[in-house]
This record gives sequence, C-alpha cells and structure tokens, in this order.
Amino acid sequence: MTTSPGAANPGVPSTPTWHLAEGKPATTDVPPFDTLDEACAWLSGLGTELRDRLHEHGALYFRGLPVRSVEDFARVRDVLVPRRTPYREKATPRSSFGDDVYSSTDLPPSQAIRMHNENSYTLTFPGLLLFACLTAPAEGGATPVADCREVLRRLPAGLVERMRAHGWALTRHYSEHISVSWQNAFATTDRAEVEQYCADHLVSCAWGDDGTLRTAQLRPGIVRHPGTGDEVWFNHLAFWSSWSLDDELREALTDEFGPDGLPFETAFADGLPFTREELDLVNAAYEAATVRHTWQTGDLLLVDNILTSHGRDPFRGDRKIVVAMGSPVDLADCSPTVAPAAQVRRAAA
Amino acid sequence: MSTLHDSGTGSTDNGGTRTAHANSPTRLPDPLARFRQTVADAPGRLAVVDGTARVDFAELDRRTALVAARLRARGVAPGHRVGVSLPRSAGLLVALLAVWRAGAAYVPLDPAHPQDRLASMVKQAGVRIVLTDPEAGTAWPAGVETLSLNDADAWRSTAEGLAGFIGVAPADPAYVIFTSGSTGTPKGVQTTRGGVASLITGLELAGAYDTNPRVVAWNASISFDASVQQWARVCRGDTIVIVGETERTDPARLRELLDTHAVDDLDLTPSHWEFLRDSLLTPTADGRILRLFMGGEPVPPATWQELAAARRRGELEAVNLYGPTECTVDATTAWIEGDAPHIGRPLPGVVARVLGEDLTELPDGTEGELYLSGPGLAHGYVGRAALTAQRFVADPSARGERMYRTGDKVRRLPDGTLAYLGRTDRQIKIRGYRVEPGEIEHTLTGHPDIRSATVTVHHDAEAGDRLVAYYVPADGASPGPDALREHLAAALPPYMVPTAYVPLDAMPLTVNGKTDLAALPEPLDAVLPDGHIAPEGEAETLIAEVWAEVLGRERVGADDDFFALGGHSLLALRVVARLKKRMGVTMRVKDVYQHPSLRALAHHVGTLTG
Repeated sequence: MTTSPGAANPGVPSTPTWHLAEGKPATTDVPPFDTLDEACAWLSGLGTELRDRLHEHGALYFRGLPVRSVEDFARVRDVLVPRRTPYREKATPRSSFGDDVYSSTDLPPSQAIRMHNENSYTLTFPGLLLFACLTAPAEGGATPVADCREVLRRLPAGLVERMRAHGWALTRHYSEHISVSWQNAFATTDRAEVEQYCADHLVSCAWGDDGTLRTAQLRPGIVRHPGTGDEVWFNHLAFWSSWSLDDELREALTDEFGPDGLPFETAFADGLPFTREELDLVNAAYEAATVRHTWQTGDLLLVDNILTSHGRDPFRGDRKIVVAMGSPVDLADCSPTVAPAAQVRRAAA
Repeated sequence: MSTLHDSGTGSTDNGGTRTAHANSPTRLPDPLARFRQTVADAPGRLAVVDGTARVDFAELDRRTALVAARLRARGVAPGHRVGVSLPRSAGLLVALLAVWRAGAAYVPLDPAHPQDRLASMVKQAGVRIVLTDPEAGTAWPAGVETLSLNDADAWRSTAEGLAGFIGVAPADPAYVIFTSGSTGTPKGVQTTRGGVASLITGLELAGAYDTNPRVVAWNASISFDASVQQWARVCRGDTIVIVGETERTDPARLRELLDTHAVDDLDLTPSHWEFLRDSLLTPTADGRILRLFMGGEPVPPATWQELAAARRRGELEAVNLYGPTECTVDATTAWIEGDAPHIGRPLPGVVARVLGEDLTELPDGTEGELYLSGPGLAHGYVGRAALTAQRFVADPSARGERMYRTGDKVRRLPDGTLAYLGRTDRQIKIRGYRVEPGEIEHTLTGHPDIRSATVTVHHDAEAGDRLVAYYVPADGASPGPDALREHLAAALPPYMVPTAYVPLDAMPLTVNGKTDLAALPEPLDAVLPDGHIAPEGEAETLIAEVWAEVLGRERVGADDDFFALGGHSLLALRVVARLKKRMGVTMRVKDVYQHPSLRALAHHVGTLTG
C-alpha cells in the first residue's frame, strides 16, 4: 500500500489496491468515507490510475462506497463518466430515473441476460458503463462481465475468421406487443424521423402494412480498442440469435411472426446461418472468460464497454441496479475489419 | 282461420290469408341435379379452395364420382346412412357430395365427442360405413367399416359403371344431425333432400343467396346444420373456401383468408362477431361488400344496431337467419336493418304460425309459440317415434300435413316480421350450441353420489354465459366438482359440461312440486385464501395452471389480471405456446393483451374451441 504525496487526506490511501481473485473482477475495498463528497474527491484524485487499471482489467469493482440513492449515483457518475451518451435504438425496456440514469433493465427476474457489449450494433456506442447497486437482491442477480480479448482468444479460429472477413447481421422486427416498440426504440412517433435516423445510421428499414417495422444492419464483430489497440469480440451475435431462446419461446415466436419475422435475429454476414452449435461455441468462450461478484448495496462497477461484455444473472427478491453510460466512441475509431452497412445479405434459412 | 306466414315476396290471396308455397306441387330441383348442371355449364369454375389446393367443378365431379362409386360398390343406396368423420377440407366436401351422389344420407361424427356418445350416435342412426381418415385413430364400434378417401387406387378400380347419379325422391333422407336430447340421449334429426332443395331455393328467393355465383367461406362444423347452408352452395355453382381452425379463431388470419380469396359471404354467430368485429369492419381493398349470415343464437340489440349502422355506411351487409335443425337449417330471414332485432319473415316455402296452447291462431302482436311447416320439415328423430310425434304435430289447418312445434316464443310485429322472445321450455343455447339441460341432469344423476340435479345457464357480463349444475348429494356422499366434471366429460361434449357446481340440501320446489328455477341460489364463486376467486371449469383451471407456471406463482385467481401479476409479452408468448400444447387452442399474443383477466381469457378460449 502506498501513499500519494498529493493526497487531500493524509490518513487515506490515494491509490487503491486491486484484488484479483479467481472468478472475480478486479476489486478494491474503498476506504471508509463519511460523506459522498469525500468519496467523490477521492475518486477524482485517482487521475489516470483508474483509466490504466480499466484498460488492464476491462472492468473495476468498487466495494463500500456511500452510494445509496439515484442522486448519489449521479454524482459519482459525473466524476467517473463525465461525457454522457443517450440510449438509442433501444433494445431492452429500461426505466429512466432522470438525469440520464436508467434501471439496468426491466426484464423480469427469472430471465438471465446474456453477455453483450452495449450498443455493439450502433455506429457510436458508450465507451464506459457505470453500474451501482442501490438494493441488493436476496439471491442471484449479479452483473457478470467478460474480458472480450480473452473471449476472442478462446474462440475457434474458423468463427473468428468468418467474423473478421464478413461481420455480422442484425435484423429486427418491431411489432405491437413484443419487446420494444419502434416508437419507444426510436423515441418518436414520426415515421419520417425513423427513416431519417436509419438513413443517417446505416440501418435499412421497411414498414409492414400492419404498422410494423423491419430493420437490418451489417456490422463488424471484431474491433480494436482505440486506447489500447487490443482486438476484441464485440457484437450481439450470440445475444440475439434465435438459438439463444429456449425452444418454447423460439417456437412461439415463430408461430406468432413466422421464421422471418422474429423480433431479433442475427447471422454471420457471409449469408450463412449462425447455427446452434456455433452459438454453443461462442457461449463457451464467454463463459470461460466470465467473472462476477454478488452485489452488495453501495457496490459500483465501472466497465470499459469495448474491452468487456456484461450480462445479468437471474435473481429473486427486490433488486435495484442503476446504470449510466458515457464517453461515446465512434465505430470508425475502432479499426473495424469490415465496413458497417445498411444492407445485409439474406441468410440462407 | 287465417294462416299467417310467408315471405315478403310471396303472394297474398283475396281472402286476406297469406298463402305460402308450402304445398306447391312444383318440384324443386334436387341439389345434386343443380350440381350436375353447374358441372356441365362451368366445368372450369373454381369449386373449392383448401389452403393452396384448388379444385374446379370438373375435378370435383370426377373425385365425387369415384367415392360415390366405391360407396355403391359397398351396397350403399338411397335411404342408407353413411358416417362422415373428417376435418373441414376439400376432401370432406367430396365425401358429403359423394354420399348424396350414392343416394344416401350423411351422419356427421365428430371425433372430439366422447366415445360413448359416438357409439350411441352410430347405433341410433344405424351407421355401418364411416368415411374417415384411419390415421385419426378414432375407435369405432364393432361392425362399423371405415373407408379412407386417400385410398385413391381402390376408388378407381370400382369406379367403372358406377359413376352416375342415383335418382332420389324429395322425401329421401339427406343427413342426420344430432342435437342434445332432454331425456339424456342425443337425438338425430333426419332431414330430406327436398328439404335441402327448399332451403337453397328459399334463400335464393329471399335474396340472401345472390343470383350470381359467389365465393363462400365454410367455417361451420358439419355437426352444426349451419354448415349445410355453406357447403351445399357448391351445388348452385358458388365457390367454397375452406376456413381452417387456425383462420376460424384468428381474426387477422381470417381476414387475410377472406381477402386473399375475395370471399363474399361469411357465416357467424353473434358471439363470434364480438371477436371478429374489428377485423370485419375494415373495408375490403377491392371494394367488395362482405355479406354476413348471422345465426345460431339471437342477435343482441347492440350487435344488431352495429351491423345496421355498418350496412348504412356501405361497409358490409348482414342477414339474420333463424331456424331449428328440425326444419332444415333456416325457417325465417331478415336483413339486419333498423333499430330492433327480429327474425324477419318465413323463407319462401315455409309456413310460420303463431299459436296458443290450444293450437289456435293468435292475433298479430300476441305472444305465442312458433309452429313451422313446409317441405323443409324433417322426417323427425331417427328411431324415436314417440319423441317425433310429440314435436311434429298434425297441422289443424291442412289435412295430412305436419307442423313442427319449435318451442320458441315469438310475436308477429305490425310489419309482418317476427320478434323472437325466448324459449317455452328449458332448451338453452350456449355459444351457439343447442343444449337440453335435461340431458346434462340425466347424466349427472347417473353418478352414484347424486340424488337429484338441475342445470341452468348463468349470465355473466364479463365471462359470458356458463352452465351451472345444482345438485343434492346422495345420503352420506359429498362428491367434489372435479369428480362430477370428469363424470360428465366422459359422456357429453365439452360445451355441455357445466363450469360451476353448487351442492344443495334440497331442490327448491314450486307449489306444483316442480323445481323452482327462480329460487336457485346464484352460483357463488369459491374464494381463494388471498381473496381471489378460484378458477372454475376446465379452461379456467388449465389457464390458471399455465399462468402460475410462467409467472412463478403458487396460485392464480379467476379474477386475476395477467399483467398486474407481472406478465409481459414474452410470458404471454409462453402462455400462448403452452395453451396450444395442452388445449390445442391457437391464439396470438394479442389475445392475451385483449383479455387480461383469467376468466375473460378462458371465455375467449371457449369461443375459439366452441
């Protein structure tokens, strides 16, 4: 343990110690602070230390901060993630708590949320995510994270090469009752605004005569972190593959919308389908790289969204995890291996 | 005595007595004579559309001839009865026409009915041959021969020389359709070929059937005689579009089917209209005006006004059809116009009388019982001479003629139309099905733990009509609702199994010693420990199980709201998937959103499976 000469409070260590335990993210036990002001002063005094450790570990876990409310969280966010990003092309129901603080997701407790990098399908995405636990669930509910450099290393070369060469395709089908409506996803009721957004953001779109919307986009699935230059697996290929749904749900959705009308579907952009076996390989790579902590009230998790994917474990009991996103990064600055495009080749069924 | 009856287009004689064509010597063409004419006139016209399969009249004629020849080779002849147990399809149309072509009558045998009931129907109707799909796995009583339509080669080999049309007389039987019987056994109504001919001509003369060939949806089960006014139209050259179970129960898909095939005419029960309203009120893209044939149950005033308004706006037109099975489908008809529901005027050929208890004619405006006569009159109930004599009585105004006592209370309005006022007996309609409470009571008292039983229909604004069984247990016995439900389900079709079971110490009696129906208590809903109402009946119980599973709850009440309990779209999908698997009901997620309470969803499921 070292003491920084410039520390405001000589009794408090200015540089945190990071514990690296098997299966856990890099974690520090925050020194006891009486007030949030002191905690924020300490965090802002850490300077480039946090950035360097984040680049090294991909995610940092702070245990023991006096964060108890959305307002407390917003203040810490202003220190750690100064440049906010709005939540666009929404894919999960979230509640906004105001001041750009959201519920992490409103999806029901019993549902696990698979690994993903936030907004990997948009042209600009948050570089940083900050999670905090305001109410710890009775059971489960961790926010697991995986280092995507590690994920990439663990994937079979064939899959990596297909992704590097072709990228991945996402098709979405917005309808009245399932998932997020287009009005909510695009935050407008004006079709022309949706069309403009899609044109500006390399998304193809088509309206159904029943008021539904279908969009498609091609994105690179392997990018480099602009700060570290590390290559990472960065996509929603597994997350939104219909193979990720259980059989009942996949069949019910297919009954309801037809095989081409699922709310979400992904494929490699080489026109070949993404198979159930390939999904298993991708999930195995994520699983091997995944670490997690059980949330305790006041815990904070800072995630580099390019280096690290995140998910959610199912839980029981009350749980309030808030999230803020910031430090936007342009895809163009991430050395994509294929250019993003609006048009995708239709995957063979 | 003045004889009141007749259609708006009928003649009025000088004596002020409105005379019908009932006893007209003019012989109407048999439906198959008209079919033969259509085949000759328009062999290439589309006769039936079944999914992607399209069959023209020449091909339908050819297929029908093969099956008829096979039936004749088996000895089937006029007066015989042939069972038909097939799903709605082009093949079913072939089977029905073929039975007629062989001169015989068909007997619908729905494999969804309990085994005992099917056996009873087969026995009563003397069925020896059943046209069916052997893959369906129905066990038929010993001695019944099954023939498959799919056995194409076998058909062909016997076709030579037997492909012609067998001549039939108007009095030869056309079909036997079973309805609920008050004494505990279903009764088979046997109608005639002349009756069907009269129905088709009557509907044509009344304007309900258009002069030109139309495209007609076939959505009724052949166990329902409403199916006859749909499928038999093929004989007069209309095109029949098969409505599968999925389309029948899914408004969007039904609408798609109607538009894809430019369907002109669609049959509905008023309950079904509630479910299809939004979809059917959307104007057609090609500008055609959909014609709805409403039947099976009285049209409620609100529905009447809604349909009348839609007609005024030129969006659709609707005709109200009334008639007991005993008079071959339809006896009266009315365009749905104006404010108040009525059943209109008799079809040409039908004589309608409003009589008092002593069979005397009542003055216009007086409530009385409706008696019907004419060529549409059925032979009666097969093998039930006493029951036939009770309902088909001698017509005091016409020597040697019979009239059918409908049990329906009516009043003739100043404009000559008839207003329907309810039943004189206890017969009830539940989701369009005609049910005799006596049949359910008879079956219920067959349970060793039951001393006596009364079944009534209970009207519930939210959940719709439901059957309620009141019972007095045998000494020392206390049978539970599940046991009783199971007992009834083994003998009766699902729509006849009550949803609520109320034990009583004794039946309330009138001064005459009859069960005092008015004094029966309201069925109280059993209350769950959390204050919610316990689910009742098969549908509610099953849906409650599924909700509890997907919502992760121990129990769910009949008055619970899916979304208030944490339901959302993906869970709604799971509900749809599990109900499909367990109840065979095809729904969309939208249905769960439109019927958020458990009881409302159960009722909706009932309209889909009913």
